[in-house]
Amino acid sequence: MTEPLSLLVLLPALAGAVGLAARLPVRWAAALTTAASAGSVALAAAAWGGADGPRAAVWSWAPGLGVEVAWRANAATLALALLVAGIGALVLQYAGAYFQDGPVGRRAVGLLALFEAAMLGLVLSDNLFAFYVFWELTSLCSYFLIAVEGAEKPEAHAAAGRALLLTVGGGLAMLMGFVLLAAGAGVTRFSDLAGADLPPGLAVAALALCLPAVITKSAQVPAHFWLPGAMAAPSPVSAYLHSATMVKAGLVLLLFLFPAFAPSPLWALVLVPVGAATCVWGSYRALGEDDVKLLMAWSTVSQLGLLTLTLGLGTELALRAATLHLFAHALFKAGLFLTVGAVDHAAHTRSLSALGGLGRRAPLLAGAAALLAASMAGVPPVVGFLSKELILKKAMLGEWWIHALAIGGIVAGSIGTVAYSSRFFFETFAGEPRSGGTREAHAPGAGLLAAPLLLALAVLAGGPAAPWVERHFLAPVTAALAGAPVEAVPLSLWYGVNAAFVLSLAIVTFGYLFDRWLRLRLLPHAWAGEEGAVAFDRFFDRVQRLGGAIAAALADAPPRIYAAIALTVALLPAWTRLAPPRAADLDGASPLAAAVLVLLAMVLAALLAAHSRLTAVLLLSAVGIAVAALFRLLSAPDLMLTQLLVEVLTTVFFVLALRLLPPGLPQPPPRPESRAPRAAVAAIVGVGLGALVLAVQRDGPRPLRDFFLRAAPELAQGNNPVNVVLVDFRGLDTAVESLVVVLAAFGAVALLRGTELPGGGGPGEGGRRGGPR
Amino acid sequence: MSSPFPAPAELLALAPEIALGLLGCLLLVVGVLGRGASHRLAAGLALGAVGVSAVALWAVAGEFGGGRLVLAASFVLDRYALFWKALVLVATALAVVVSQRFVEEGRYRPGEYYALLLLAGTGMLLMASGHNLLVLWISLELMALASYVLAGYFREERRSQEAGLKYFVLGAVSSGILLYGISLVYGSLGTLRLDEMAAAAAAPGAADSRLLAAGWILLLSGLLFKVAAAPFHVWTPDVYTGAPTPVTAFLAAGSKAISFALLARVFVQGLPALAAEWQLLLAVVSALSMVWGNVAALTQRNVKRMLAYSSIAHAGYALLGLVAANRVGSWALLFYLLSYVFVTFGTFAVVILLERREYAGETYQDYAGLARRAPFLAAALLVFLLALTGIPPTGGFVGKLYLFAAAVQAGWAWLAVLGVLTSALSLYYYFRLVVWMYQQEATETTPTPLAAPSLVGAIALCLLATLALGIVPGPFVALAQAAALSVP
Repeated sequence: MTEPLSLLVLLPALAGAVGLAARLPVRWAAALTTAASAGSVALAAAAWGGADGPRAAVWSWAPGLGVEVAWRANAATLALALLVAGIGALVLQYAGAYFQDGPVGRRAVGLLALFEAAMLGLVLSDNLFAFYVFWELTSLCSYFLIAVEGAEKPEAHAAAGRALLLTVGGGLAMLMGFVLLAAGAGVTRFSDLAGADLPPGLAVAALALCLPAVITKSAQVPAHFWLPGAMAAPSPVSAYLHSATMVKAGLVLLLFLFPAFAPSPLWALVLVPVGAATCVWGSYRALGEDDVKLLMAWSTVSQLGLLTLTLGLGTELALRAATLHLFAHALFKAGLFLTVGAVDHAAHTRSLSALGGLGRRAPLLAGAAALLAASMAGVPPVVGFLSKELILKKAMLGEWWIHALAIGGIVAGSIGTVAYSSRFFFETFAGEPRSGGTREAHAPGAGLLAAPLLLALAVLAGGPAAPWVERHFLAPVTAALAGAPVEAVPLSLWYGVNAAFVLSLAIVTFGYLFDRWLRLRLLPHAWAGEEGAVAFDRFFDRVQRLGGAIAAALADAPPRIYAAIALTVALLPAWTRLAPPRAADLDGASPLAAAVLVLLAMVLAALLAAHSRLTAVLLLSAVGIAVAALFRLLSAPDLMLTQLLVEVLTTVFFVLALRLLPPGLPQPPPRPESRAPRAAVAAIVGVGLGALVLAVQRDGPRPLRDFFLRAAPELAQGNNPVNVVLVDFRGLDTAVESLVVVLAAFGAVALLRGTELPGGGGPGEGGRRGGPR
Repeated sequence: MSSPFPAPAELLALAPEIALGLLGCLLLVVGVLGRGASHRLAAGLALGAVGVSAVALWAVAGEFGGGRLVLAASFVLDRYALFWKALVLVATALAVVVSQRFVEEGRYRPGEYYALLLLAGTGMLLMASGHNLLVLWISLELMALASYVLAGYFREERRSQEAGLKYFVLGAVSSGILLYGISLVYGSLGTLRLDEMAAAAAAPGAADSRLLAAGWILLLSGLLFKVAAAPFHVWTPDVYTGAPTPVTAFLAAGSKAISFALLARVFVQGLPALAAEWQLLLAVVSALSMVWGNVAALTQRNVKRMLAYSSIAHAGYALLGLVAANRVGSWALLFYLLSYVFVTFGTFAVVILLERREYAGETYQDYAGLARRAPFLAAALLVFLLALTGIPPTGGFVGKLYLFAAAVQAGWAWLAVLGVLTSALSLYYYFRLVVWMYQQEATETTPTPLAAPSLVGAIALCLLATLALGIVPGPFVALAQAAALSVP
């Protein structure tokens, strides 16, 4: 493999496959996958600073559509790859200590590594379709990871299914958007997107199709509910997929689309309100949550909303702020989830009302948690403060209503964030233990401590190292994303006292005070329903019931109903060709013919009302005879003769067959079917065929009619074309056809002689087993 | 006027059909005479017949493969025909392999059963190269008549009898509609040859003919019946559920695919002048099929019935290729059906391994814990279900991608969006099966999959093909392109 980036993606995939296939102990599998992730980190670091830009396709996948695997290496994609692989290494190391040996742990570790590979492919892909493929692969991995604990957790299946349906559905919409871009503008790569000249209509349509993908994948209102549901997964999974990486995929897509689509009016119009709503609602729900893990999930929802909102502002400074916060959030939220997992391990509970006082029992864990929570709350000097301040500054530059909405959303969401961060930390680690389990809690082992501690240290270092972060990370990454260096005041912990700083401090102070004094007074009973999931299930139930009704309406119906449907539909389009009757159609009509028609109608009416088989048969033959009379009036005596013969024969056969049927009238059905549908079908078919005949009468060129009318007297010396066609032009066919009928009759006789009628009394069912009946 | 009797050399073009048909008849005789003939022998003979036909196909491909019209221009062997004939032979061979267990357990006379399969296969081979509406109709009937009997072959089961009867009655109605349509088209255009039809329909004023319109609409209705597109699909659930599962697989994969081949040839080659009109009608049918099939499949508890509804939906997706009458559409259809044949056979082969007499073992519950009891089967079924949904890295994904792209390029974006939405919906019922397989535990009543090496081999082959079509689609796309481009 000449392309190092392919190796970067393949390493974790191979390790994961080995972990799944070979029945290694969990510890070994985790060590293997951690090493593979570390290898990917090293490869990403080595590629950093190398040649930028799109690379040649390593693999042409679906020719003709520009579907290929091609990587793109620039500061932004490599930084994302570093983040994914780096956190992957930490989480996998942690997973080795977290899971007990067994199939669940083995599966989880292997799937985590596979997921890592898919996520690496996603951030590095240049080709839109490959991006989509990796996108769906992450959804699939997420599905199996949420439900990894198998039969022990039935509720996890429902949650995993909901998450899968939403994210894959969104992904399919994105695929349509990509197909539009490829088919409409010839764009199949992200690197071509910025310079492409997109027609405005196409751009709006493509963006509108991509936004559902962002909203579902990144858990934005109203599709946010799958994320708290996904907390049924074990903590390492939640830390990796549902906070640090997979849920960021939607935002990564926004980052990649930014240069081409940010100026579109749809961008801010959708993203800012959706982000603001998500940010505020997530914060509110986090405040009322008792389960620490769910608290973290709602906090993730809120932070994702914050990021969406910021990106939605659509300026380059917003891009800068969102990028920094995306990375910061990945670090501190992964750390917090791992902390929660360690707390769960130590105290065997995740309920805030049972925790407390863990600080004394696990001081290192508490220290890490303090740093991480402070970062989430945006307290100086950790990195979360930097990013949040940047966001605040940014929001003050938009249009007035977006400005107002953004500021409102950010301030409300941030106050909530400070409050739940404080709540999480103090209620978990401070005070006295509130349950026996917590009282007996022990400090977690080194395996569970290492990752949160490392992440906490990274977060701590990020603040004071602001100039370094600016020069080596933020500036090149935003330049790569925006396509050109972004002019901005360099990042720093201290800009002096300005509005953003004051607001930042006010938020922290008020948020803390709110948690300590006001929360229980203002929000005594926080909303704790599962509104989204319930609504989703209800919607799905409806669809299912509709499907059931459709399927049941026609299940096991007798063939005549199926045939009626097919006939009606086949003849319906003929109605569009219906020709209005013209006077010429009545040529050859006579009062006598009209009288026959009236008679025919009366016989038909009587036929419909008939209650005995014999009457029905006789009336049916009366219909035939009336038609024969019509033939006579239309000067076709030969047809009349044929018709009469057929009629007489059928009647005789009918009467003979009637003799074999049991005597008496058929039992009336218990609930008589309505006749209206049948009448409708009959009318459609009858009028349709009538219209067809009229149409045929009037049609333009008819080569066959002309040919036979001309050829009959010339070639066959016969004046009746019908007869000539039957006995001369198609003479051979007629002969062979007669032969076939005779043969079939012989066959029928042979079959009938070998079989006794069931009514004949019993022995018919005996005979050879398995033989023909 | 040329002689009505074909030159003997031209008959050679029919060598694959003749071989398969004659050997099928021979098998019938062997089955009757050799009472104690083993099932294995009969299956081997049937496979041998398919092999002989394949060799014959390979031999005549060079001679006649350039699209030469033979037998009074009623028969053509272009690359399109070769593509389908090869696929038909694969499908017939797969059908023989997956039928073995059913025939042995039911103590049916193997000769008769396999002979019917081969005769249906012969009809399909003919359908691939018919260049004349009547030839096409007769070959379709040959396939259909054999299928009617096969659908009702499970003689002790009422559901199978019902399936056979319904399939026969409704099939006869559709054949009637089809034939009536053919006669009207013949009446208005004066020819049954596809190339002459195209020329006659392109003449000024011909397209306005009411007679022609009525004719092609009826013709289309009859064919849509065969591919089980809504609203002509009503027979499908009953027949697919009631028929013996190997037969269902054969109907769902082979019969449907080849009927599409016929539909595409008649309309693309014979009536391009009316494309705008029949595409509009097909667009409506496609939308109806996608929605109806997927929505109705949601609530099914029986896997066979679910697959029946899903096959209706897939007819809708495949029709997208015809609606988009561009080049991408025509070969996207071929590629999609190629992958669909393998996926369908694979899926039904797994169903066969789990089902029991009296139609037990067909519900979702019966798949509980399959991943633990039979990891290979579960993994294979997972891949097939991914392919049916259209998720990478399977052939189903690539096929759907091409179809949707073709539709968008041809300006049918709304139809493609509908296809995407219904695909998302289909994920739900396909994945419900995955949940049962991977995340539920088996109970005492859950059937254990049978050990049948030949079936497992067939599944492995289908799995390989599905993945190959998804991972390295290049060569297959080239095949489909060459085939589609050989039709003028």
